[in-house]
Amino acid sequence: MSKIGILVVSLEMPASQIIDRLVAKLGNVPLRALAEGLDTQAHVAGVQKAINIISNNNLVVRDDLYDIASIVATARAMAKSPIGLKVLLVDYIQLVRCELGREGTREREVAEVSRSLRLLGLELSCLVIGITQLNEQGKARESRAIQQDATCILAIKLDEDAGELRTISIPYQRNGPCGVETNLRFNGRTASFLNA
Amino acid sequence: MEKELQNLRLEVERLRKELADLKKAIVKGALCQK
Repeated sequence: MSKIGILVVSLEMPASQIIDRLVAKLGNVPLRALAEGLDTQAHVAGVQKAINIISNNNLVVRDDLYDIASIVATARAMAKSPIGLKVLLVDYIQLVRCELGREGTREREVAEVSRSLRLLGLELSCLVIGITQLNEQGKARESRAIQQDATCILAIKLDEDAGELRTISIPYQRNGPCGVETNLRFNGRTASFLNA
Repeated sequence: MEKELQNLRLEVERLRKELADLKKAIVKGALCQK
């Protein structure tokens, strides 16, 4: 992690669990040990290492922002602060509320959230990473607008027979080749992606 | 052996508190105000 302003907006899981996953990854400590108790010197050293790395970075994790207006306001405030904002991560787009009145269908609401995040990234010159659920056809659920607004789409595919292997594909990007893919290994114990 | 275990328990307890404080700081945005 480099020392840049990072804002994680989680609507999927509590901030505490997001930080546990970060500690597990950075310290190579099993999530189970974090939950049930550290019982080896290696775990202790790993957690200490992760705490040191995270403490020296400008990370904010919020799990209390439920609508797009709150997310935009918080991102703007952070961007104006001396630290600035370089990365905004929203997990996940379909859970963000956006009131469009009586005529607002769910699809239009999701499209508006996607558009707002796109414009926010341009306004603040920050990278916006929006997590999205996929439907059975592998498309973003409830809105095609997400795919149209994105500069780059990264898809993680889980093959049931592939064990820990995951296929990471780029079906679309504006500034590079489309349709490329590679494999990574997912380590569930530490919630990490590693080289295959 | 018993002493080592005792030290490990103390270290784990210290880290548990340190991690809890870190979580509070991350949620409040306090890391950015240092």
